[in-house]
Amino acid sequence: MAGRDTVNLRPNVIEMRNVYKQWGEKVGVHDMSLDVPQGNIFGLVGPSGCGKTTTIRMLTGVYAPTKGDLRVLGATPQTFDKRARERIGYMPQLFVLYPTLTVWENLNFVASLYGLGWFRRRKRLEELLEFVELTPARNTLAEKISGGMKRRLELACSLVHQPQLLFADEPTAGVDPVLRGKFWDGFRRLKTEGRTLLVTTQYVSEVEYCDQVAVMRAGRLLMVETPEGLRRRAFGGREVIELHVDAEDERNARAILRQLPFVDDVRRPHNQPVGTLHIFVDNAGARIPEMIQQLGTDNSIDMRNAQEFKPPFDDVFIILMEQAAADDPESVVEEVVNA
Amino acid sequence: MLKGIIRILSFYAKELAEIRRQPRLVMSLVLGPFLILALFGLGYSGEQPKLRTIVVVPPGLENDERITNMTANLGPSFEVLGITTNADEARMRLARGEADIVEVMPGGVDEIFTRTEQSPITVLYNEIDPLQEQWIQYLTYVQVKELNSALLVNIASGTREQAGSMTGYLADARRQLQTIQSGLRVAGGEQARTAIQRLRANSGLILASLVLSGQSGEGQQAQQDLQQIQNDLQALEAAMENGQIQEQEERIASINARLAEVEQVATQLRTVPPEVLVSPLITQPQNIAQTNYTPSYITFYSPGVVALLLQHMAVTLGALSLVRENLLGSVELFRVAPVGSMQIMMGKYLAYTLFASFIAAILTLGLYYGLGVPFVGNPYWYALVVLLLTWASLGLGFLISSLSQSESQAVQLSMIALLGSVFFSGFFLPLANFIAQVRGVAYALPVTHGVQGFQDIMLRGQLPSDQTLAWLSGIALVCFVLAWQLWRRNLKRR
Repeated sequence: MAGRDTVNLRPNVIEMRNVYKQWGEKVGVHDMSLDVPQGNIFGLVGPSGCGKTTTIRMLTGVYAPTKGDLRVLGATPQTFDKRARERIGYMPQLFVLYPTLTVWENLNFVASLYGLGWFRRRKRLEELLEFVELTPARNTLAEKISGGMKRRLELACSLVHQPQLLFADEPTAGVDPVLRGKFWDGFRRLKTEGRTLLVTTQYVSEVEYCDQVAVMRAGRLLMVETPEGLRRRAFGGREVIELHVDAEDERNARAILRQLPFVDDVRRPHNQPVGTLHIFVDNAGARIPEMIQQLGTDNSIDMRNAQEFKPPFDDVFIILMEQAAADDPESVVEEVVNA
Repeated sequence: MLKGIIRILSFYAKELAEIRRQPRLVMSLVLGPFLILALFGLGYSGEQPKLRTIVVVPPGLENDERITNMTANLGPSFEVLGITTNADEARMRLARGEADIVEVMPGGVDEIFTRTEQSPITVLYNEIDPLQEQWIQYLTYVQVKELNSALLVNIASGTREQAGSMTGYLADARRQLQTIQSGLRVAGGEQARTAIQRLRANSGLILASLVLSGQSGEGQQAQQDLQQIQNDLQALEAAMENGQIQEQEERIASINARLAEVEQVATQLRTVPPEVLVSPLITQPQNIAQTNYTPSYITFYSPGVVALLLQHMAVTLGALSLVRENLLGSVELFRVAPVGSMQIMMGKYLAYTLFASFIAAILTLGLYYGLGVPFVGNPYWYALVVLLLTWASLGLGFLISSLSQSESQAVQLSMIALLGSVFFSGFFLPLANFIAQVRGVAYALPVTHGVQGFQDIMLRGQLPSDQTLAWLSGIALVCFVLAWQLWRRNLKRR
C-alpha cells in the first residue's frame, strides 16, 4: 500500500501482504502489509525493537515469514536464486566485516562474494571509496577506523555490486549529524540512478529525506505516509498556524479565533511564552490571510507574526506514538491496512 | 562457473590475508617446534636417574664383607646411599624423599641355600607415579636375578675347584673297580668287599660335588649315573654276602661304563667357565632397521612433533574459523549474498591447506638442515600424507567450529583434541598399551596416522601404509561432510 499522497506509476519492487513473523509466543512482526515502488527511498521508522530489522531480514530472505505473502523483485525471498541475490544490497545494522583486513581488502572480499570480475573490480572499488570518502583510509585496518568510517565502509560494501534494491538497516546509527547528511546525500544520488532504497532509522528527523515512511510500533505497522502526511496525521489531519500576539492581547485573540468557523482549536504550546498560539485549521496556507483579516478588525490586538507551523518530526513521532499507545493497537493496524 | 570460483577464492584470499596479519602466529608455529625439539635433544638423556637406595641389613652385618660385596653389585641403576641396621630411620628418609627405595636384606645369609623357601629382599618405595612404580619393580626384579646369578657363579666356581678332587676320586674308583673284578675270581674275596665299600664312599663324594653344579643337563645325567652306580654297588655287596659274586660281571661292566660318563662330565666341569654354567644364554641385540643414521630420541620424536603441530594448527584454525564468522556477524552477510556453504568451506580449506603445507615444508626443511633429522623416504608421499593429515585435521576443526557457540568453547575443544592426541596417538605411549576399545579413539585422531606415516617415510624410507592413507582419507571425508552439513544448517535462511 503506497502512501495516499503519492502518485504511483512505477512497479512495486516490494510487496508485503498480511505478513507475520513469530518465534513461538513472541511476535516479531504482526500482520504487515505494504508496497514499495521502484526508485523510491522508503523509510522504516519506529522505536528500538519495533520489528524494523525483522522486517528487513524477511525481505532479504534471512528469515522466513510465519504467515503471509512476500515478494521482492518479483520473487519470494526464501527462494531467491543467485541471480536475484546479486540484485540486492544489504547493509546490516552492526559492523560485520573483518577488523584484521584493510578497508580495501574488506571491500575486495565483498566484491568477490558477489562474483565481481577481477578486471572491472579495481575501478569499481576506487569509485566506491571515492563515493564514501574512504580513499585515504584504503590501506587502514578496519579495526583502526572510526565508527562513522565503518558505517561508510559497510555502505560501500553493500553497493559494490550495484544492486537495484538496497536494504540499509539503521545506516546512520551512531553517526554524527554531518556524516548523516552525507549518507542521505548518497542515498539521494542512488535514487537518481533509479535504485530503490529501504532504509530503517531511529532518527525521526531523517524521515523528511524519504519519499514514503512506514511507522512501526511493537511489531505493528501503524501507517505508511509521505513525510508531510505524517505531520498531518499527528494533528488529526489538520494544519497548524503559529500566531504571535502581545501577551496582554492573548486572551482577546483566543476569543476571536474560537469564533471563526474554519478554526478547529486554539492552544498555547508547551514551554512557549504567553502570546504564542497554535491555531488548528484544515489548510494553513489558505486560512492565514482570512485569520489576519478577522483579527485585524479588532484594533486592540497587536499581532506580530503569523505563519504555518511545521513541527519537527521528533515531535510528530512522539505524538504519533502516544496516540498509538492510547488506542487499541489492533484497531490501529486495521485502520491503516483498510485505508 | 567463473563467479563460483571467484567466490571460493574470496574466502581463500580473506583467510590468507588474516593469517598474514598475524606474523607472530606464523613465527611461533615455525620456531616453536624447533625450540622444543632442540631443547629436547639437548636436555633429554633418555637415561632413567639412578635409584637412591638405602640397604637395611640385620644387626651385626653392616660391615660384613659379603653384604658389602652384594651392595657393590646392586647394578648400574642403583646408587647406594648407605648400609644401615636401622630400618625405621631408613623408612623416614624414604618418606622425606631423601631416598627412592629401601632394600631390607633377609637375616641368616649363611642359610639361604638350606631353607625350604626363598628368602625375600623387601623393597620399600614411596611412589604415586605408576610408571615409576613399574620401573622400580622391574629394576629390583632384575637386581635380585643378578644377585642370585652372582651367588650361583660363586658356587659354580667352588664346584669347579671340587672337580679337580672329583677326578682323583674317579681314578681311585676305577682302581677299586679293577680290584673288585680281580677279587671276583678269588674265593671269599675280602679285598673286593673293601674295594666295594671304598668305591661307594667315592661315588658319594662325586655325587655331592655334582649336586652343587647340577645346572646342566650333563650334570643331572651324571648324578643319575652315580645314583645307579651306588645301587649297583649295593647289589654287588649283597651278592657277595650271598656268595653269588661270580655272577656280577655284567653289573661291574655297567658300573665301569657309567664311571666313564661321569668322568667326562667332571672334565667338562673343569673346562666350562662358571658364568656359562650358571647363565648359559645371553642376549645379542641386532637392529635390522635399514637406516644409515644413528637413531636418537630427537630423530624418533621429530615426525611426531610435525604431525602433532600440523594437526593442532589445522584443528585450531578450523575451529575458530566458522565460529568467528558467527560471532562477527558475517554470517548475516553470507545469508543475503549469492554464496553457498560449500563455496565458503572450499575457500577456507584451500587457504588453510596452503598455509599448513607451507608450515610443514618450512618445518621439515628446518628439521632436516637445522637439527639433522634424517629424511630417507619419498618426498611426494610425504607431501600426500601432509595433505591428508591437514584435510583430516581441518575437518575435525570445522566440525568443532560448527558445534561451538563461542571462541572459548572452540579453543577448549581444540585443546581437548590436543590432549587426546598426546595421550592416545602413540606419540608418547605405545598404542599397544591400550585396550582395543580405547584404541578406537586413537584411530579416530588424524595425528595417530600422521605420526605413523611420517615415521615410515622419514625414518624408515618406506611408503605410508594403506591403513594410514585410508584412515586419514576417511577421517577427512567424514569430518568434512558432517561439518559442511552443520554449517549449511547454520547458514540456512530461517
